[in-house]
Amino acid sequence: MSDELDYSNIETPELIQQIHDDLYDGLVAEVTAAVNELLSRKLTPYDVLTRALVGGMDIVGVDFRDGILFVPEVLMAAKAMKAGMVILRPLLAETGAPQIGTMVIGTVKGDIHDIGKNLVAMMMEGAGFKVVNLGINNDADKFINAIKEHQPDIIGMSALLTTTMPYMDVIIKTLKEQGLRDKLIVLVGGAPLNAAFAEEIEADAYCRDAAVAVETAKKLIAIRRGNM
Amino acid sequence: MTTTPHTDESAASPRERVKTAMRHQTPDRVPVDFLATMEIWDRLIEHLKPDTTGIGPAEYFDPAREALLRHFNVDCRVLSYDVFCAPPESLIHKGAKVDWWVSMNRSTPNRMWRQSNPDDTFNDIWSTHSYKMETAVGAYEGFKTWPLSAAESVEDLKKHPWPEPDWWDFSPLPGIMKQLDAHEEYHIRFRIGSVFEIGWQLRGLQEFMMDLVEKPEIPLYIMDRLTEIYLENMRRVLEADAAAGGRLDMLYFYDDIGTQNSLLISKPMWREYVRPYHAKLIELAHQYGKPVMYHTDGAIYQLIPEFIEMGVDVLNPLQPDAKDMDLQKIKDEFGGKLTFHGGVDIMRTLPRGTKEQVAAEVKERIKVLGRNGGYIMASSHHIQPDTPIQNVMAMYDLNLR
Repeated sequence: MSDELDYSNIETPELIQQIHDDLYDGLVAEVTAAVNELLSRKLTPYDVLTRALVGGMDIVGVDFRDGILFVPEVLMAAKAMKAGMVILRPLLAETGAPQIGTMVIGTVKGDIHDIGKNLVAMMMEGAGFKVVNLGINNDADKFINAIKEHQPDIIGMSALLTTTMPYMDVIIKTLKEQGLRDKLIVLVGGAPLNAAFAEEIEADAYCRDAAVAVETAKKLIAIRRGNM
Repeated sequence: MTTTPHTDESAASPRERVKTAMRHQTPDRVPVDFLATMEIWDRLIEHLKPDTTGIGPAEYFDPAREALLRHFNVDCRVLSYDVFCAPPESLIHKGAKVDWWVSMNRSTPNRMWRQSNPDDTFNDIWSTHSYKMETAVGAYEGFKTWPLSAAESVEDLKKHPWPEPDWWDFSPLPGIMKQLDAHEEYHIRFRIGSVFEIGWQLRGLQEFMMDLVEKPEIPLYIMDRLTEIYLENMRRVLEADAAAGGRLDMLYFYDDIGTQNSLLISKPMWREYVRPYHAKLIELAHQYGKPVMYHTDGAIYQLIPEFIEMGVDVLNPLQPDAKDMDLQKIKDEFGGKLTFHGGVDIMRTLPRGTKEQVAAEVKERIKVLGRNGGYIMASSHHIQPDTPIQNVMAMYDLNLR
């Protein structure tokens, strides 16, 4: 299908707009073709990432938050975004583009519910973050090992159950013991959580949905880097 | 809780009490139901040692659990399709054995069909593939693999070992109802299964969700197959029940469609792909004159008018902490047409509240949802293993009803 897509006659601003629309509609081939077209016009990979893909996923995130889009559509948009990232990722590394940030995310020990956590991971990728998704049922060791390996700016922990959410406290205490806590932004989320719980376990923030997670991550990173 | 009021001549039978509430009339007291995880059942039984005299035999249900329901004066009983599974030998994997009592999802006194594999994983009758995961306070089940995850076409889906109606034997049903309830006192519902949920449990949630956009023929085939089986099972159950005098009081199915803040899928998508299946199940139950109870978690306020339109009679569980689930508003708007079942918060009040807070919430629910009947008091999901049993006992204090 992508062979038939010819974007060469579309002006760059309109093509960026087109990518926003195609991401919204979850169209893998169209996003791939348009990303390649923008790169051929000598836009930097970083510009394509931020203006086209991140700009488009912002709209998806807002409409998901507002109940206009739902899980299936967001998953499709994330799939299209990933197709674009496959092209951009090696180019971004080559060109030494600025890092937006890295997140290690996982569902805590004993908890298998991962659709919400996966949506957060996808929307964070959609916002240009590098995301290391640890999957489900992660104990403190798994988080610590991933932190040592990937040097993230952010860790995200998720739980659906009241019985598993207390384990977030165990992980944060372990981070403190190992002297890692202050280097990290800790975001927590999941149905039974609230801001009071986040404060009690000394996480940096509770995020009620994927869009809030992205906004909070961007804001806290900017504060850390002294941009705000 | 020292008396057994259903033997008191002035009190209605539990069955009449539920029926009165479902007619939107005020019963002698609010009927209740009980749903809990394994650990809560075990701890309550250990602590209360309820009297099992005359209850049983124990082939189909656990007498101690039934005794606990009687101890708490619980009005409702459930019998489920998985009590009656009788699949062919060919379904049993090499080295696996059938174990009726091992499922962590066993939230009633009933046995539940499972095969336990040598690698400590389990398969149910649909061939979903799960395993047990321990937490600090109790165990849960997760999915190990999704048997239809690699399917690319309807042809691939056809190769799945789809259960056939003859994989069930419902002939013991009337006898079990007699064992469970010799004096026809309790309100008994039959649990059918789920369409959307078992569907994604076979395919994988993310795949299933994306299929709904990209390749709807995949989820539709899966849900078609499941619904066909349910409809035939229901016919057989309802015929067996009718032949034995029509003892069964209600049909029940579940399908979570809500999240904490919203719906899992859009309303138009739900209307196109999920509602028609549910409508068929409800229609068949109503043809046999049986009301239907439907369970969905989450923020489902916006679907309630359509549930009513489809003929749902009882809605469970009213998750009070989900978005827009304002119980007063829901009762005011829909209470004339729908009976509510659930509502007592398992996320905060039951695990973290005091006994007094639990009692206050039960009173509040009865005041709001129990006005002019139409309410069966229960928790907003299975009571979780981090809940103090003193709070559960406070919830079932007869004086609150």
